[in-house]
Amino acid sequence: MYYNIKIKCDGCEFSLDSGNRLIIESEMDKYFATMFGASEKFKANIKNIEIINDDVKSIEEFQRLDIDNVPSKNTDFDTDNSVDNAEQPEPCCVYENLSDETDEKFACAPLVEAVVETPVCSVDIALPSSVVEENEEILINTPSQKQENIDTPLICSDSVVSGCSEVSSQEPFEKIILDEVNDELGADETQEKIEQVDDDIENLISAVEKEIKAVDILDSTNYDSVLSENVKENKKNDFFVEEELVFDENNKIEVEPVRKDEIEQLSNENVVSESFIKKDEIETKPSVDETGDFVNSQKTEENIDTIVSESDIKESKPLEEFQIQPEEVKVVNRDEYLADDENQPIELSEEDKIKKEEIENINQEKLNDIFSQDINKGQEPKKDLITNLLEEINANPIPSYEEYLEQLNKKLDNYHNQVNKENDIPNFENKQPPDFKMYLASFKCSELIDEFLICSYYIKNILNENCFSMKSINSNLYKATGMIADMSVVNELIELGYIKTVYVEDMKKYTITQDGEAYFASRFKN
Amino acid sequence: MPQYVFKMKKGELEIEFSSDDAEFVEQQLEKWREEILKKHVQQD
Repeated sequence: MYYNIKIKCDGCEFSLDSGNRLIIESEMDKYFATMFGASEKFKANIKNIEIINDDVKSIEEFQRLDIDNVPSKNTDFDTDNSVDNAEQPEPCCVYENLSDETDEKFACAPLVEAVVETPVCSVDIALPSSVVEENEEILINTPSQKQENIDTPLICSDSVVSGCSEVSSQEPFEKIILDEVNDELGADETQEKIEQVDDDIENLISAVEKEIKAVDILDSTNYDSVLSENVKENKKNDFFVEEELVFDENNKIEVEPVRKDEIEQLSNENVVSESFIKKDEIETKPSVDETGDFVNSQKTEENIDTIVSESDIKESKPLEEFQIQPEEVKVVNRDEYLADDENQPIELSEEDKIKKEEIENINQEKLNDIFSQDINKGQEPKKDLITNLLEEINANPIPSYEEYLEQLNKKLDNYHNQVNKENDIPNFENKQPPDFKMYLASFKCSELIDEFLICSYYIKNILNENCFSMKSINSNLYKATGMIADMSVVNELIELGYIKTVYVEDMKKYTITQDGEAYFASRFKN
Repeated sequence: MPQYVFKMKKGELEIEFSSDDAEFVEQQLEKWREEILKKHVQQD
């Protein structure tokens, strides 16, 4: 059996379905669901919703039913007809505009109560409130559903464990899987399997570590040692394709394969390592002795290696492509540099130095004063403005110390005037509008109705939105006060004439009236 | 599979009740109807 109850109002909605799912799409939907769930019966079943506005009045409103204007045809519907028309999934009856200006949100509550009452759909939801988040579908799985969700069996082959990648929360999955495996194999066999897999993993890790070490050694270009070890282990490896005669430390010839890529690398680099030189290829080359004279070396076994390495290294050309090119530096003659007036260091006399220090101290003191004044006023110091101001003064030549002070004081007065002007008339036109919480903090009020009025003023005059819905205003109110307003607040303000109802695209919305703005100005602005 | 959809509206409040179980729908709507009638009688 499937059922779904969707409750919509003022742009908010939530659904409760037969899969024990409470579907809430936004924070406001949560408030709405909470208000709707103010009934004791509903609360008893839906424990996961945090009761934000647990107002007795709301509960009373919720439990009250206004049936004055229910059309008579609605009470005469025949449920048998709906059964007969089972083939047609169209709505069996639609109640349009049951009217009434008050109690709108709670008129149909008994249906929900009735549904929750029945044993078929008695909901057992006990999630922590933190689970309820914006845009989140809350799935409350029954134990039977949990079993259905696990379609992927655990495969314990020698070293493969599959089916884990799709699992987001590992703990319950592991527990459930372990239970399943225990059921199938028994506890002892399961333990053996686990140990076996653990051993495999350890072996794999050690093998990988060995490979990593080998790669590290290769990177450090100690080819001889690595190659000889690898050659011994991988004589038949196709990777080693060529062989060369080399001399070891004892001048014995041995065959040692060389990696193809290394040969290419070595030829590219034009660097000859003694290990890769054949004895036959060595020619007699002149070398330099300690006194600097050229000496004709002989192919004696004692000095062949030395000669080859020294001479070849001397002949080897550096690889341009691997060389770091030095940055181009423009060389400037020191005298020319200093001859330029702009680069001349300014030498100050002792008197000037003292003045400069005093000016700097005054600058700092003035700045500190300004900053502390601003901070005391609860404002962010306008550092950029002050810095520009000081730069402007300092850029000009200073005729005298007194004139400098006068100029500075003048500028600072202008700054203060400008700042005070900005504070008197808040100007949010070119700036990001302040958060309602911040805006509300500048007023002294504690009642929800006042906060509601301030918020409606804020929406119209700060956010420049002509009207608001209950959803939008409650969103601001909740962020600022932790409370939401219900229709009683709205009705009271409408009766006072401070807000009025407007219809925008058939949607019922509200806006602050001129009386409301006047009241706001007289009460809160002074 | 048949599906019954009941949409009830009062002002901005709208309740949409859908189910594929005719008997269940019948029970729930009967309860709702009784609730309305009961209140109506009380008020009269």
